Amino acid sequence: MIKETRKILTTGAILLLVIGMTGCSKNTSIVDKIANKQYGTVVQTPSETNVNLNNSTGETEDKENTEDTENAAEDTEVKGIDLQAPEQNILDASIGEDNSVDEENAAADSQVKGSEGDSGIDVDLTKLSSTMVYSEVYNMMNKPEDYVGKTIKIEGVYYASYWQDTEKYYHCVLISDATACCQNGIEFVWDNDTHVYPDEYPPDNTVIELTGVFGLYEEMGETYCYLKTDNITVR
Amino acid sequence: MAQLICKNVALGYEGRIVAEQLDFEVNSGDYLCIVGENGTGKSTLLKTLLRLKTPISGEIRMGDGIQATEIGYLPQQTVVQKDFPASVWEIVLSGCLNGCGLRPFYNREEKQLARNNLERLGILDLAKHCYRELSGGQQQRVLLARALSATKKMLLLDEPVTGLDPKAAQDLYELIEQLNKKDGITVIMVSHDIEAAVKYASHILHINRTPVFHGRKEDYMLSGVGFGIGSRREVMEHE
Amino acid sequence: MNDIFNTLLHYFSFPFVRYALIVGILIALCSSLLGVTLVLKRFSFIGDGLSHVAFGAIAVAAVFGFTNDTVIVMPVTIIAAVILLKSGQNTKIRGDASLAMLSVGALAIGYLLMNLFSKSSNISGDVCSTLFGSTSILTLTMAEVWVSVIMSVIVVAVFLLFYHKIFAVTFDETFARATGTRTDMYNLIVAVITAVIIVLAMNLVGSLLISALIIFPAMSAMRVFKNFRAVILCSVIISMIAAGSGIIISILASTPVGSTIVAIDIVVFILFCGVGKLIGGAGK
Repeated sequence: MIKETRKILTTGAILLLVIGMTGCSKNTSIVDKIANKQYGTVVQTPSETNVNLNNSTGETEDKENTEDTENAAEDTEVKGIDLQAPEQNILDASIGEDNSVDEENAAADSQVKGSEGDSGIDVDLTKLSSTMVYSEVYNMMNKPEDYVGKTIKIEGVYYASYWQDTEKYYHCVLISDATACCQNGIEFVWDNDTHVYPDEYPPDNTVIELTGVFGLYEEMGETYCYLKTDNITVR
Repeated sequence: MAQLICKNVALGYEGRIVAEQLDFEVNSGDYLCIVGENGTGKSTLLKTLLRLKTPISGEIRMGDGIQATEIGYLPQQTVVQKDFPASVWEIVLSGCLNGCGLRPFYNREEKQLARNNLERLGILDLAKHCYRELSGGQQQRVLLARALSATKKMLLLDEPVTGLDPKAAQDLYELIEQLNKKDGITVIMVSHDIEAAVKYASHILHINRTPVFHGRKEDYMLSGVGFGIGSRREVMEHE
Repeated sequence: MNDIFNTLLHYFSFPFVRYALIVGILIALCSSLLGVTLVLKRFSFIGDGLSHVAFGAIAVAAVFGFTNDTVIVMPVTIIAAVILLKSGQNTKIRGDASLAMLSVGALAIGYLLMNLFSKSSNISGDVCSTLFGSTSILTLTMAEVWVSVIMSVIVVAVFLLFYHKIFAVTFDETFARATGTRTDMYNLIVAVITAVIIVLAMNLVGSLLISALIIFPAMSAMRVFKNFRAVILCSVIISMIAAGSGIIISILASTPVGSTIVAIDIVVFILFCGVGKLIGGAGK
């Protein structure tokens, strides 16, 4: 099953997911379908978000290492070397982090202004307040054509879901609004989907940060948005 | 010349008749007082004269070149007005509205008219004041000024002295008399205050489901119809 | 302080923030214009009832998959406004009860429909954002922005055009009718404008908080000012400032937009109560 999934996904289909929102969103969301058919609902409250993270060992110092490895990963990709080994390390190291604390720090950091230009990032969602992040992601769903080709940096909760119709797993990063009752999500495709699920992916509800290029694809007659990324960090 | 003609009018709510066989005329310059006990159709008659209600049967006609919308009306105060944030000027000016049509603002003549009416009732100095902060007598003067802005010929007053202290009530009665005598404005007043009615009015219409009396004040006093009400009120006041 | 300013400047580079501010302030302006009239005519409850009806209409629109739900919500709310107005003119108690039935009924049916038929996986999220307007104002489409701007301009124009009539009808409907003002028509205009405002304001504060947007600025202004025009001007200014600062605070501090605006309205109300007491004490 996983092999099949990988095969299809490596053809380059990249997806975007909107979790939730008929009230808010006009685009049909693949997660909506998945949710109804398979899981009932995929909405979690923030408290639930942290449930799976209790196997924490508190190795917060690993963060810098993670970033280093990340850069290494970028380099190696260019050379066409297999990335799986280093990426695996990243995840192993980072799963152990205390996410709830980091999340708060990140939120506080995001209030401070930062320059976006130097890193080649067009939209840095980690520098915005959560109301702003939610709205900006919503607008990406609403007018995806405005964002195609832009590099977006986002931090949110990782979630994978399986859709029976395509027999694939879709990976997304979720962000919630200020009242935590609305959630939005963007699907991402990591290194052209060369990674094995679930072994190489973080567990659901892990807080991750990723930088990727926004794109669109069509599947089953609907248009979806996704982020093409080679840069995922577990926070 | 009759300004207002009622021909065999019957009044009521939802088919239930509260007063009938009303047959009378009001001439220019008359001061008609409609008296009677509570629930005998006085207020209903007034509302019908103002075209707020339609009579069950009969006919009400305006004559002498006066339109139904040119009647100045002094209503009883409503709850809404008790805490309404409006200046005296705004209220008196709103009486001119019937001359505006679709024009969204007041013109110079209308503003002048409102000013004249304030002056006439001696409340020009109150123009900028807040209505809800005035005394009861002043409030009635403001509403009277508004009524005068809506009419040049006929005033309808609904229990104008209710809630006023005796001094303020007498002032208001004298003011109304002056408007009637000096400016020749026809006055129709609904009241249960028979003494004042007899003192100031030129004509009396006493109704109790049907007209008990209609005619000149002098004839009314001779007829003795009013004593029933008057004496009963006195007894109540003494108690 | 400088940091906050820079962050704000950065946020304003996002077009949706600018749209939110413009549309939000316009909606606040409209809702406060009629607020004074609705409060004084004892119609404030109609705003509440209508917002529930609008919520039900949104649910229906969502179930039938309308992409632009204003097309359904606007007419339904206007019709409900007219019905409420007519029933309210009959006996007082019956009007009250029918309003309660209509509004609570619409709320329940709307929620039920959303639960049964909605294609969305996030029903609680849908309901929550529709009821409390957590971020709707920041996620408007261009079409919604234009609809809001145009409707706001129409509302303001109609209000200015009929200002004196609305005053007369508000202050003393009986007198106005007796002297030939077509009060039925102006009541209808007030009802229709109210419906339009409520549909617009659902984007700003969500349907449960609309009444607050209508009532608080009017009540605050009435505490201090003593003539109709000043009260309306003041409540418009209060409402616009509350909406503008509410939106800015909510994007800076990540609070829900609707409740932030209403919270500011409440603070202003308390402030004005105090000022009113001071002035009232000294003035008399």
